[in-house]
Order: sequence, then structure tokens, then C-alpha cells
Amino acid sequence: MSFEDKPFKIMEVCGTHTSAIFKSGIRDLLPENVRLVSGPGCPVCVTPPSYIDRCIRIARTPGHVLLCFGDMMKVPARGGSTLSDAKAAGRSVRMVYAPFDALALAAKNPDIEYTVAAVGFETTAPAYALLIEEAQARGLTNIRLLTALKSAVRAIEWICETGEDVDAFLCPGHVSVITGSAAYAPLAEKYGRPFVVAGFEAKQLEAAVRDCICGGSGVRNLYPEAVSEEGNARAKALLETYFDLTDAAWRGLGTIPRSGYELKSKYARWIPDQVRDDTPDVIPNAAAVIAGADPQSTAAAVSSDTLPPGCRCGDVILGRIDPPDCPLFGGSCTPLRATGPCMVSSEGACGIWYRNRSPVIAGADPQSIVIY
Amino acid sequence: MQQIHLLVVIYHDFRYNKHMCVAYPGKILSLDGRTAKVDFAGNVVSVNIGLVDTRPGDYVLVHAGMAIESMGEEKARSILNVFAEINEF
Repeated sequence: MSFEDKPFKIMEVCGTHTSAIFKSGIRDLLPENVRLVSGPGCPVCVTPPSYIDRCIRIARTPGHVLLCFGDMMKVPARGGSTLSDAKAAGRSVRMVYAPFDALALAAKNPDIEYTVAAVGFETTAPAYALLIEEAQARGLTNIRLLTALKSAVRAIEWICETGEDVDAFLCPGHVSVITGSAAYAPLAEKYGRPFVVAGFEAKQLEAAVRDCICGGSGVRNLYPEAVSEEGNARAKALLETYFDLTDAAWRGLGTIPRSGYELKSKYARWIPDQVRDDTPDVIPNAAAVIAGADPQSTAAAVSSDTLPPGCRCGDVILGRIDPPDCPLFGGSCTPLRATGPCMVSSEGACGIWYRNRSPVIAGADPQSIVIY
Repeated sequence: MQQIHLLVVIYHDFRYNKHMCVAYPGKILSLDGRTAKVDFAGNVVSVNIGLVDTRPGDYVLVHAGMAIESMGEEKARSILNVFAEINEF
């Protein structure tokens, strides 16, 4: 392997890559000047706290049920409470495996309005378009979509635009199945960096990392089993038909122009009515109750749509720091009760580091390690 | 043993959708309109196939209950081997 002896930063945009890289041991094989950093590639981690507030508000409305992925249950809202707390407090929150689970539920209970917490990147967004099509075909009118859909490709572009010192990108495998590897071609041309689409196998990842370091600028597809150059044409057409690209808030990063998929106005009837109401809901969060804190005061302390005090998720997903560099990591922020969103999701960088780190290296109290 | 572990992981992931962006290949058993029964290491799940052209016997890469790519057995096997390998660690 030949490369200059200067710092080289590779961003693995996808959380599943972060996890696979850890498990494969590639991190330990890299020369000291090469750093692998996590990117904003976990849809749950970049969902703003106000969105969780809206989810909780829908769940507490009589006659409404909120459907969400398991990852969303532990993400703190502005008041620090989670959908899991809301469920424990008797709100109607239900975990689903796929958005399409809403169809059977809606058909079975026509008097209940089912709102799907629609988060995800390009990979997941077409599922919600298909859900609308299917609901229309079956004549179901009691399904709504609360969208916080985002474009991962646009986030990569934004990172390039802002001049973050990332030298190469490991492009997300399954986002690329939809967008095609060609989606990165304009970025490679404009910013002159390597964009390598990688699979999830140790050998594929090793090859991709090597390609990032030695291959020079350009787009390379090292996951041809699943990713084509042009992507999935039907999925892309669905995205264009149903969604507008709008400015979207990313937790920890702020607003990125034209980075969110929002339902077009002609599909407004699929949007829940509660979307406009924006006051935080106060549900006592379990930790606060145990500690004897007043839930009202914890809600007031974190009233804006920013990160909780001390949380450095924003720096983590921009690759500025590694998760253990955050003062809350492993202390007040663990997967069991996360302060920041990156600790919550199985694809969040902090959660992955927490589960895979060596306690000696991380300098943490071994008592705090939770074995799953 | 490893196969059982893989099955448990896949089942867990599908049941609880633990990994949002993971996509697994499974084999199409039967079609019913835009829905297919897909076999993931013995765990049969209903999958929306609105994004792909496929028929029974094909493998599809499935994400969030939706097939995002259709593929032959050889490609699917190579991806499945990856997950088996990841689980070894």
C-alpha cells in the first residue's frame, strides 16, 4: 500500500458500515495516519427532537396510534422523554417491522387513525410511497405519514460544501442500491475525492478502504452484487412522484438545504393534522422519575431543537471527534438511557463504539459495560 | 450452530427492525399481486415487490418490508455469506 505519511480521514457514511468495520477488525489494521470516522448515516440519529415530540403528541390523541421502527423508541424528545416512556405512560405507540404493517392494522380497525413515523434515507423513502399507493388501492383512508425523510447523498454533498476535512467517502451500500453509484459522480468531479461504494463483508470493506486511500478521486462501485450504476429506476420515479426536496433539520447539524423528502401538496391528505402544533409534550421520563426530578423542569431545560447540554453527537456525525471523546460517553449516556441520539440506534456511531470498544482503551469504568 | 445464530439474528432484526438500513436477501416462494412471501433462512415474511421485477425462485434484497433489488442465487449467496461471516465475530 503506498500513500503519503499525512493524516487521511475516511468517512464511513453508513452506520451498518461502522458496525461491520468494527467487527471485522479493520480499524486495528490501519496505519496511524489513517482515521475512519462515522458520518451522518443513521436516519434515527439525525431526526430532530421536535419530531419525537410530534410523534408523542399523535400517540396521545384519542383514536390515534403511532407506528414506528424499534430504533425510534429510545430517542429522546425535547423534554428528554422517549416514545418508550410514552408507551409506558399509556400512549398508543406500536412498534412495526415495516411500514406496510400499517395496511393490515388500518383495514382491521377503520375507526383508528394510524400514523407511521416515516424516517429514513433514499433506501426507505420509496417504501412510504408504496404504502400510499397500496393504501389507495385498498381504499384505506386511516393511514397518515409523519415524514422526516432525508437524502444521504445530499448530506455527503453538504459535508463537501462546508469544507469538512474528509479525504474520502465510503458511500452507503443500500442507499446506493436506490440512487445508483452514478449519484456520486457529480460530487467526485466537483470535489475531487474518492467515493467508494462498499459492501458489508470484511474483504469488501478492506478493499474499499484501500481504494479510498490509494485509488484517487472518482466513483468506484465495490458492491456490484446489489448496486448498479443507475440504481433502481422505479424507486427513483416514486420519489419524484410523491416527494419534494425541501430544507430539512438534521439533529446536531442544523438545516441542510434541499435535503429532506416531504410529501407533495397534492398528497397532503396523508399528512397528520397534528403536524403544525409544536409545543413539547411532557411525559415523565423514567430516569427523571427515578431521580425524583420534576418532569416539567427537565422539559424546560431542553426546550430548543438542539442537542442536550454536553452532548457532542453533532461533532461525532461530522467525524470531528470519535465517540469516546464526548464527555458524556459511557457515563450519563449509554444505550440503556441515551442522552444523545447516536447512542440510541444500533446504527448510531456512539452505540456501536460503546458495544465494541475495549474498556481499557476507552478508559471507562468496566462496571458500566453492559453485555448484550 | 452458526446457521442458528444467523437465523436468530435475522429473525430478531425483522421482528424488531433493529437495523434500519440493513437489507437482507431472501428467496421468493410465491407472489400475490404486489406482495410476495419471502424465505429468510426459514423465516417466511410478506414483502412488497413494487420496486422490482421478480418471480418465485428469485432472490430479493429486502429493506423495511420492501424488495429493493432482485438478484440471482449466486449474488444472494455471496451476500448471505457476508452476514454469516459478520456473525462469526
